[in-house]
Amino acid sequence: MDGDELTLSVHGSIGRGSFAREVSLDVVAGVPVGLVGPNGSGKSTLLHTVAGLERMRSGSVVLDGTVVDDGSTFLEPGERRCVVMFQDLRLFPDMSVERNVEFGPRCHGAPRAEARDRAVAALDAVGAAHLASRMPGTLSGGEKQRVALARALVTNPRVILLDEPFAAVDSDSRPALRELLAAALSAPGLHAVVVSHDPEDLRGLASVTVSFA
Amino acid sequence: MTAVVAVPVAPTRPWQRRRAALARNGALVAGAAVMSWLVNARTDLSGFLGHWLAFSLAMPVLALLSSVRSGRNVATDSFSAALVTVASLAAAVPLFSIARTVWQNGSKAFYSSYLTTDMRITSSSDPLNMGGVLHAVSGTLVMVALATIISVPLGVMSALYIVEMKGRFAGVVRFLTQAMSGVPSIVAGLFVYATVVIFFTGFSAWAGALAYVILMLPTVSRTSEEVLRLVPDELRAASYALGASQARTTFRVVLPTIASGLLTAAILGIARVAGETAPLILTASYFVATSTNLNEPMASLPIYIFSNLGLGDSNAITRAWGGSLVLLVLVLVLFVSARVLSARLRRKRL
Amino acid sequence: MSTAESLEPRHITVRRPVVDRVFRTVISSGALLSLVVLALIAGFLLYRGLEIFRDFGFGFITGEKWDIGNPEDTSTAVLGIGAMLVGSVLTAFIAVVIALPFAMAAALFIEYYSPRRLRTVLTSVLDFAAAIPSVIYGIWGYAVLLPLVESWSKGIERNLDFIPFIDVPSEIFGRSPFLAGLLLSLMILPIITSVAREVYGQAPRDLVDASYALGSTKWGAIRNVVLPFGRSGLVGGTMLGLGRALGETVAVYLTLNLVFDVNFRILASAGGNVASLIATKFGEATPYELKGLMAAGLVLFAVTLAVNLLATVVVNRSRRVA
Repeated sequence: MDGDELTLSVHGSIGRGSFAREVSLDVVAGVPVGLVGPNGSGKSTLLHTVAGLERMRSGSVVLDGTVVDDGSTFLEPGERRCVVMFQDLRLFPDMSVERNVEFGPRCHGAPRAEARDRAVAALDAVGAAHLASRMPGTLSGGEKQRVALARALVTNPRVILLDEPFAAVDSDSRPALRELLAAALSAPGLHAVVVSHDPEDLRGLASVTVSFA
Repeated sequence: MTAVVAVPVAPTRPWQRRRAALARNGALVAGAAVMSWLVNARTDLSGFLGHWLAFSLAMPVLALLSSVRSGRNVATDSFSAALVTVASLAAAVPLFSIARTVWQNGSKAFYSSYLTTDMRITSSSDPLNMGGVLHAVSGTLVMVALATIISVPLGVMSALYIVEMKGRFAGVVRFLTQAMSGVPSIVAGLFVYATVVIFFTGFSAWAGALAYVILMLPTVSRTSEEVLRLVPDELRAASYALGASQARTTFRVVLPTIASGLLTAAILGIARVAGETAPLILTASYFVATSTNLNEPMASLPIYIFSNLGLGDSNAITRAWGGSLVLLVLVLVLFVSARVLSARLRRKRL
Repeated sequence: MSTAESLEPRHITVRRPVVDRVFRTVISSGALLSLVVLALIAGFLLYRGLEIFRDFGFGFITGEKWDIGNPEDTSTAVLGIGAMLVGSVLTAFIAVVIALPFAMAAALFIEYYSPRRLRTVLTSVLDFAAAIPSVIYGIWGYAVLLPLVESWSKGIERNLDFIPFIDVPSEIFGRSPFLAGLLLSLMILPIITSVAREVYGQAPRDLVDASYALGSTKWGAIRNVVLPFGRSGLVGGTMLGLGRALGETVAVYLTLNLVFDVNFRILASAGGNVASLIATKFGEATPYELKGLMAAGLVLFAVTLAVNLLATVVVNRSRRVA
């Protein structure tokens, strides 16, 4: 740990039971890191730990020079500005697309009008503005993926964690989505981690690839 | 070289009920019916019950006789199958009798104004085309509504405490709420009498509603707990990962997802209390006019039935049956809507 | 969350956001309220009935007589719920004895014998039966079951009067413990059935299949696998039904003749239970008698709570095993 102000570092042991792993990972802002490893190798556990959905067993998560989890200190997920795009996307089924995207800004205290403006802008940025009033259940896999990306980016996160971003997308829509993601991940000051079981998925997205076994 | 001779074989379908078994069951039922008819013609037994009794005895006996050649195990098997079938169908017989009796006797009380008038100026022994059940229906609805407004939030809260918060006393709360569901309704009434009625309001709609609350709470909280467990943790994690607080996650993500389940919980709670008589004797008492004053005694369907029954006059008893019919229909409506709603929740497949 | 020592790099210790602390406090107090209510019920009934327990001691439980004597002078009153307690236990016992075999049969039929379509119908009918108000069971029991039971009772007594429980010297049948017990059995049948159905449905499929594979008949599989597996759950469900039967008021009030004598002759028109005692005497009770009713309510509360707690433990354990 050299106190680098723009590094996300995870050192120590994570997970419980059969998912327990020792990890040591540093992610520099602006340099997306790809994680490749077979199913069950603890990739998702790592993402959950960084996002604050699980706690470190020992060791620490340090984000931009601030300890967010080291056993005695624990920053709630809401305070970390660290979003996850889950493999199964997890759009809220009873909210419209726009409501889904508004949800993050509202959580961080934005007034309704501002949240709506930001949601519209974010949807526009991923080319999904026309979907705003649809319900998630009516969307195709690629459309859902765009909405999930908008929902993640709209909060201006410091860290974005993508879990198998191509899992639910048919092969035709992959190139366009890949381009979109590549642009999104290179935003200045953003730490990005992309996880996949297939190294091919990370092509063009991750500058550094780490193998996770 | 040996020639391979293909013998065409019809494919067997072991998963289909074999026709022989079906025929055998049909023959059994027919045989038992004939026997029961013979027995009824020769003995004192008669009527539906007589036929049913003879049929129920004949079925297992015939099943045993018809299979006794196939050995002891098979005979026991078919004997017990017949016994189980007959006994479980017998369990449903009284229910049909209840429905039929309530319908037959209750419909006699239904004159055109039965649902729109009360007993303010009518005595129970007056002709049936005078007076009605309006005060009882409205009283039940008012007290049930009051009780629902209080008990649903409380019940959902204890479910949230157990499932969402996983509080330190979650186990204790869960255990005692379950135990509370067994508190006899008259004890709930007695408690409200000893506290609210004596010290505050006297016999009143409020007191009745509070007795309802005690009885509704366990049902509401248990059902809410069950539906809360249907919400996948993935959805909660997604909300937390977007920076939501636990409160926001609960109110904006979890509860809306199971809205119909919570409605089911409320309805089951209402169905639990809508027919309760004993606690109301001690709390809301009875009143002959339609009333919305919560500080006064208030009529209700069960007490309307109960008090008319106590009068003993034949018109009063017919009124009691009329009230029973209204109450039974009310409970049926609640029951069916709870079914429909929970089926809808299940279809959503969270 | 404790404060961390100051280390490199800098630490911040966060507590939960304010909304969440408010949220958790509100939820906790709402949840604990139901426990408070339970404690209050016991406390208040005890408080109101204390004088009775002091005056009569254990005799309140065992005494047969309920006589307020001179209403002006409480020392002439003799209050005891012995006869009513016996009545409660007797009717509930009859109810369980009758309901249990039918509930087992219904549960087995629904889970293992019934065609699929009949299964949903039967389940719905039985669930609805649990929701039918007790006053409707009561009025039906009075109007339909009473004449039937009266004529059955005559026949049974004529042929079996050498059995002490059955013999009725007075030849008055009518509103007897048998009638009340039979009616209660109909009311608790759906409760026992639904618990039994649940535990029978959870019987390990592989053991059932294994038993078929070894050449067992369906009944063989049920007897050797399903019934032993479901035994403790069935006991729990039966106790839930027992608790309901012990506490039932209106249906018993309408079908049982209130007499303050211990009566074990199940066909005789005499009996009572604690709950219907309260409903009967409540209307014109003197203040002192009212305290007696509160004390009776407390005894009923304690008995049913004990039965239900035990039942809950048993049912939960059988679920855990499954």
